[in-house]
Amino acid sequence: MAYISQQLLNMLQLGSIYAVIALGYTMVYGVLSLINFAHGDLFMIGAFLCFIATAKLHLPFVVVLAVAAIGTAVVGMAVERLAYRPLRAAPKVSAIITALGVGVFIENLTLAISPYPRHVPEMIPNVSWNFNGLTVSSIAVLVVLLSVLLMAALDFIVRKTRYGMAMRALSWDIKTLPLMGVSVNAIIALTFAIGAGFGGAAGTMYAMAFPVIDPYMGIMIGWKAFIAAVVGGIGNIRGAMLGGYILGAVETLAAVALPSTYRDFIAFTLLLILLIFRPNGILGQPKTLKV
Amino acid sequence: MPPTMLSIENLTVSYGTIRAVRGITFKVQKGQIAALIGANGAGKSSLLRAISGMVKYGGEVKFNGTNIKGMAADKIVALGITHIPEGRGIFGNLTVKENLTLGAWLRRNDPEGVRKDYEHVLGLFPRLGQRLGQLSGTLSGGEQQMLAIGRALMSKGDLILLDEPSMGLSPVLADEIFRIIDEINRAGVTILLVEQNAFMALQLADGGFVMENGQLTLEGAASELLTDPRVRQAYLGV
Repeated sequence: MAYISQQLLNMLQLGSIYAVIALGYTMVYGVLSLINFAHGDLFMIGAFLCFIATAKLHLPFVVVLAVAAIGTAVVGMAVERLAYRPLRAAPKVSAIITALGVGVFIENLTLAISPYPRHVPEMIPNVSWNFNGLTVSSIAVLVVLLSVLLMAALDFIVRKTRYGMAMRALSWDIKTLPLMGVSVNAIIALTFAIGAGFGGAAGTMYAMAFPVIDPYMGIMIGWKAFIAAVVGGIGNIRGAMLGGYILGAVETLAAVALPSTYRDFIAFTLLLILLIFRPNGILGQPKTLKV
Repeated sequence: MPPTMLSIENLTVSYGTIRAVRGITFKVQKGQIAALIGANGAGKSSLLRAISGMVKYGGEVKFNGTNIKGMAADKIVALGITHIPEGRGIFGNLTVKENLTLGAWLRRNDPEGVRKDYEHVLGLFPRLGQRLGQLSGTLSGGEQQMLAIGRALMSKGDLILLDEPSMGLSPVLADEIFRIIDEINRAGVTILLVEQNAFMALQLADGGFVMENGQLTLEGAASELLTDPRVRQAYLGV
């Protein structure tokens, strides 16, 4: 019983991180129908900013989180401005190639600056509580709470605020939106800032739970979160959350039942099968209800 | 003679090698309804898109004396030009209320005025009031046209560019929409109306222009155009 609860907790922690990264993919896709393949690398940037803020600057946790999220948001906006905006009218495939290129660029830039894996020091006191054999760490609690908070905030922004409304309108018809007096460039920049900011926050959460980071960490985790977003229904915010938790669960269960080298194989197989039956993802609908 | 609000000079619009608008010059006076009539593909919508900054163009466009060429579309809205595009441009994934709110995007500092205009729009179109929380993609064509006009009023522009408001509407609904366009104009808004329904448009308008193959072929007072044999033959079917 305790073992099962323990695994459930692990699932929740891992799923939370995937969910927050997946939100970044789904935001950008939902608004622009662009898959930002560099998003996994923005997540990595977030983890490195977290490392700098913690190991070099010794900032308190809340500030670390803000530095990572805001810093990554700025990088995300720069990527949009420099790499994607010039290609906005170009064929979609060009934008996708650019996204892949930006990802490789960010990885190698980081590699040039800091090639070795880094150990991120503790950001909050790592306390464990024991409930009838179930160990709950303060880090797991914080990761899960943070992700819930971030998801609720995003859901609120998109559904209830004027900027969220403009994002939804943009996803419907980018040509007509300027006729409302809305600056499309500003809304797209904001979308990237939020998406990348979530990547940066996820980077911090990851570094807290799994404190060894390296320039290539964003590739595999980015792919997984992307798949989580697709499984949930890309473009759909609640779908991204659901997809993240499903992926966390599948991975954790696969590692419990089989040798851990099978983990990704099993997880991806199940997700691919799921997509055969739900090609638009679990909550995804063709076209209409985006973001 | 009322002052000139919109002045178009030698305007050209091209899509690749296709020249949709081939050198058009005309003026719209403040307070008027100007009707731009012509067949499908004559370049009427392209002309409106040029004025509102949706497409690049050659020539000059001046609004209240200011050259607006090259300005971003959202900045042009801020000057007071509201464009209701072809197909109405409703955001189908937003509710009716959200569409109206979006129309007032630039009026953040005028919540009192926005609230008044909101009440005014719901007074003009009571059917929108019954559907505020509904996704606007589920509205009928007539309701969508009402929403498009209502949303345009929310931006409180001085000039409304209106593209084919009668398209796809029953004659009764089209009459209703035209009556409201007249009412909006009486309240002081200048209107450039693009229509295929030449008879309705010219009956409502002060001045008219006929466009063919990207060029103006006729212009004059609407009452004169209504009796002009060339217009009667080509567009009024008599």
